[in-house]
Amino acid sequence: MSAKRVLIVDDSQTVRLQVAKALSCAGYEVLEAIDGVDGQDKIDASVDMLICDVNMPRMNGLEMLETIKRDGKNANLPCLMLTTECQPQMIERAKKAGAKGWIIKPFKAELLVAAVTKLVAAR
Amino acid sequence: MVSDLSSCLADVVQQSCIALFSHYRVEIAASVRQPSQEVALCGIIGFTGDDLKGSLMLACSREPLELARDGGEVTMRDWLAELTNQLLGRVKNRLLAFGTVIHCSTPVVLGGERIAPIASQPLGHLFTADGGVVSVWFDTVIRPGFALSPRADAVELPSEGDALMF
Repeated sequence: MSAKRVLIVDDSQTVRLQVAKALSCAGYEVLEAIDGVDGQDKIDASVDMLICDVNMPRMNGLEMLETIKRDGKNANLPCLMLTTECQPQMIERAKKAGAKGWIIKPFKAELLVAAVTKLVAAR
Repeated sequence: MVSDLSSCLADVVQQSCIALFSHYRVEIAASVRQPSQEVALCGIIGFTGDDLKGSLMLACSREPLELARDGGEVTMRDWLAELTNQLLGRVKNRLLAFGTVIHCSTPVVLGGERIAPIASQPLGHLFTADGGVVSVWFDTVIRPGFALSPRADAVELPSEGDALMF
């Protein structure tokens, strides 16, 4: 069976590498995008899950998520937000746009892997 | 209501910085001495809000940055940018407990010679770490009349590292 593919969208190379390290150890294949625009370009049918930062240049993570949901094509792709933000209004906005979880940076690798495993399995 | 706004903000910034480095297994301690080592890089991130606006700067000598970096794959510049982002994230989330909302820009990093902290400024902090220095400036303009008050409708906010599943 081929590895499940997770797309991490974050403008920080550090975070992309930390996520890739944690998920590849757990058997996932990790793709990277540097902001919301790049993320939209890289989503295709082969992607099983999305992990997305909020504050990014060009297009932020919430705008990206709302655009994906509005476009409909990848609307059922599970998405986990990974951010330093913890404002209830932002969390509510993400929930409304279809996000399935919210992790506050800096993240614990075991919690991230557990959340990804749960969401990919539920797809 | 918090009576001394500057010292409360200073405390929020100081505790946030200590907690951030501790997460990455680097113990830092507040210091009043001017650093003998030159800082290598300085991360800068801006913020705006109704009550507070300004920028936060995190400057480090090479040693604490390398100690905190998990593996050598990322560049020092990107690592410091992310630390700066996470530091302001902690400050922002602590201010949120007072009902004060700030919005952050994305971080940038400045490299140069003699990037000197002014630790004597009210909201400047200097720390020593194993073999190096960490310096933080919280350069802010405060709305006249603004006061920090714990929220009456306080909701429990999630903390760094928490995972909320919907």
